[in-house]
Amino acid sequence: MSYSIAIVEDDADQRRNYCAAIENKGFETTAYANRSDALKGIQERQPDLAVLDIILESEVDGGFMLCRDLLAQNPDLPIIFLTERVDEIDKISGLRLGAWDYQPKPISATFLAERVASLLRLKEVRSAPESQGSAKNLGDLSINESSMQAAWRGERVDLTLTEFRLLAHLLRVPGEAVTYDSLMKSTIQSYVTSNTINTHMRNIRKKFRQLDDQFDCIKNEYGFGYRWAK
Amino acid sequence: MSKLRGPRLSTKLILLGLVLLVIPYLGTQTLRAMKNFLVGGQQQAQLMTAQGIATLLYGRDELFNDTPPTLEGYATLPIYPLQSDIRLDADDDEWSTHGLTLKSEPYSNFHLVLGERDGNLYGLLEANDSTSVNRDPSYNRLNHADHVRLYFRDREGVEQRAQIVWEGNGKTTTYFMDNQWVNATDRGLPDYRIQGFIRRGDNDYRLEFRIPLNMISDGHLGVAVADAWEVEGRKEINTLSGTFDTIDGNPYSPMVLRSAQLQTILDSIAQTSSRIWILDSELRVRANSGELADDNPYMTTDDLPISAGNLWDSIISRATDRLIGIPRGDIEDYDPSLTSSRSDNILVDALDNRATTHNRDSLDEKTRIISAASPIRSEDNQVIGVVLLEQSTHQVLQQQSKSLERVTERTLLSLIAIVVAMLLFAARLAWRIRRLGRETNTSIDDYGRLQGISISKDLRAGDEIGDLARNINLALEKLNQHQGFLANIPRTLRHEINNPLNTISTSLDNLEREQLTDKDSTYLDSARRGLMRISVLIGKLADAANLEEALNAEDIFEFDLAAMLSAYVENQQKLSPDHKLLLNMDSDSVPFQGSDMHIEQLLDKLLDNARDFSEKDAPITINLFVNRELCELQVINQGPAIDEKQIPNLFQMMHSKRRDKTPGHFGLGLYVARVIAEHHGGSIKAFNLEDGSGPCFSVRLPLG
Repeated sequence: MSYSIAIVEDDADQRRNYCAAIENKGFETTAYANRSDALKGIQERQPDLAVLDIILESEVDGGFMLCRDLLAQNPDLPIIFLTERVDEIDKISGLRLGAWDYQPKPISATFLAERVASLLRLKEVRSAPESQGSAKNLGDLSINESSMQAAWRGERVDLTLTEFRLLAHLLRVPGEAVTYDSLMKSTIQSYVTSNTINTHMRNIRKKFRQLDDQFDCIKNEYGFGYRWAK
Repeated sequence: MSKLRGPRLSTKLILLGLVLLVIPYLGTQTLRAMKNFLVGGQQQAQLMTAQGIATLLYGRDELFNDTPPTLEGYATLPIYPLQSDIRLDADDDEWSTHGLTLKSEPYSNFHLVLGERDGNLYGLLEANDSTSVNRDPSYNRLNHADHVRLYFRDREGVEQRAQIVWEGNGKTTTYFMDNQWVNATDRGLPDYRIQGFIRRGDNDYRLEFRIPLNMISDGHLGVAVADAWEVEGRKEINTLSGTFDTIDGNPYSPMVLRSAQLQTILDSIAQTSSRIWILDSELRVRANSGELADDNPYMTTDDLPISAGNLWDSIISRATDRLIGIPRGDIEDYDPSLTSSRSDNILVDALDNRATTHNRDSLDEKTRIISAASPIRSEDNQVIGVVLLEQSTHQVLQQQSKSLERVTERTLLSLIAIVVAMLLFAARLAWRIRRLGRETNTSIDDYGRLQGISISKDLRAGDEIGDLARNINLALEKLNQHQGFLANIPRTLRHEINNPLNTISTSLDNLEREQLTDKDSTYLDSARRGLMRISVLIGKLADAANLEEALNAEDIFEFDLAAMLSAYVENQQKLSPDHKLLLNMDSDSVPFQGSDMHIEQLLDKLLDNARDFSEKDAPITINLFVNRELCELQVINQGPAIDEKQIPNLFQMMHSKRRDKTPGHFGLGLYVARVIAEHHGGSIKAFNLEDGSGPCFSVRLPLG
């Protein structure tokens, strides 16, 4: 069975390009130009994954609103946001919308298609607990690379895909500093700055601190990068 | 800025206020005209008075005919012409018919009145004397009894001393004395030309005497009364009083011929503030009365007790008196009692039958004196005498002085009031303008950005400053809109550009999957590189534009700036070993409140900048100086000096002076550094080191 992907993007050219790239991976796509069309269409036919632009026609937060509605119907629906601003990462994180991942524009269509594919894989893994493989334990932290999930003292930390990748990258060499450059590459995004990494790291820290306000394992190596302190 | 020209507003207003000084000037001009008018009026009035007196004396030839034929050279203490013979009987009845009484000529211890008839000088003397000592004829010496002394010079100019002595009531005897007044000269013989008669009262005696005028050569005479009484059995002269001031000094007084009848007439028409002279056809003074000015013409300010209240008056009055020229103190002019004749031009004119007036200076040249002279005519129209009326200009000057005082006082008061009012007005105006300037200044920060419109005062004022305030406010509002528009450009731009960029990017991706020739791939790569650069540019611009918002969202916590800096420098040295980094810190621990992420960003920007402008392989120095309130972070590279003119622009957005125009640099680094420093309450500046080794970027951050 081929996966069905819903694409909500008000710009016709970009919409067509996304569809072309994703269909090229062998997925089915349904594209919508605005929130009401998307809501109606998705209710009629549930997709396996949704790619949402945030600004939809005249609605500045159209993507966020749509995300909330979709997750209300289907909490397990993987959602990828396409954002225009780094600070919107904060917003997504702050709103705790439950998005699985986000991609800052301009995106690479190839990266997008790969992400879609990996998220669908992840969804399969997560929905089939027996195939999840083993979690790696590092002190209070346990991390499962195949289900891309992390837990702190047994409690799940709700990280986005990008955040998980950054954390996993740090944990490859626990106790050693990882450079900004290396961290940037691990996000698999086309345009990232050290500022973006800082923003992500802050958000990861915040998510850990919600579970444990004494959490202090992510250290900034000033002028260099980050380090996981054991 | 070019040199400012022109004085401050208040100075200008005060200079303008000086124009008011023309008011007192005009006032004095008016007063001068008024003075001339008043003096003219006074002259006319005086002339009329003089003519009136002359009319009164019209045809009274007899008043002038009693003059002795040979008066030339004679002049005594006031001598009154006598109309009838005098019998020497120590009685004043003949005198009183001439209107002469002893009371009119008092001296210190006696009264004396002198008259003239037929070439003889008559005297009536009354002396206080309670101890009568008559001459004892058994003594040759004459200095042991009461007597009267006469001092005069004879025709040869030799000083003569005549002593009138008596042995009781009745006729007296006269001796010429030696210069000690002890013994008689001329072998002790009496002189019978000088005769007298004495009568004693209880406490006084009265002496009437006669001396031929031709014995006295130069019209000078002295009279003294010697009083003797017995002391310890000896009779001695104990007091001596005379018509002169001191016994040892000059005993002679000039004699002035006076007309008793004219004097009587004059006394009846005497004026308080003018002096009337009547002179005969030889211009000899025959009578006079009155004073040149009131004895106490006005209260001089010297007489007033000085108090705070009249200190002001005193100053004003002194100033105006000086201005007008009122002399202080007595006027020195012809003394009527010492003047026997006058020869002023107007008197000569009057003898020529012309009544004229004239202004002259007083003898001491301090006062102007107005003179009016009118001829006195006999019935056959001959000029028999002259009336001369003199008055000082004191009264007029006094009037003028008072007016000037008032004018001065009011002008000064109004000047002070106006100047104070103008000063207050100028101060208020200047203050309002300064306040507007201050408000305008605070509305815009050092980098020309609007800080929020703070013009709140003067917006409702109706005057030009109000207009200015409204205009500035309007301009600031427009600037604010424009600035808001500018600030939104990067964001809008990103939103608007990112979508088409995204279209291009995804299109390129899709294109890549098609079957491509090598040539196509080359073009595709070029397109991707171009796309990447635009993305980076837009991203950095938007990040910089959003930096302040991002900073505000950031949590502030305490961290050790020194530890962070040393870790940072160590890491940077590891990552890029091209330039040696030299770190100097004067403290190992600097607790600092802030956002470490952004301080790191700030360090990145400064270090990037230092590397870009540094000589190849030259070290970069990083200093951290700490005191109690703030720390100063310096990043110094060795390289070309910064153009001083560019320094204010260095920290502006989109300002780049890079030599090589490296792609990816848009002049945002130092701008970002400044925004971060300012967000932490600090400041950033750039300067060239004095030794010329390179530029220094210095960030000051407050501690605690």
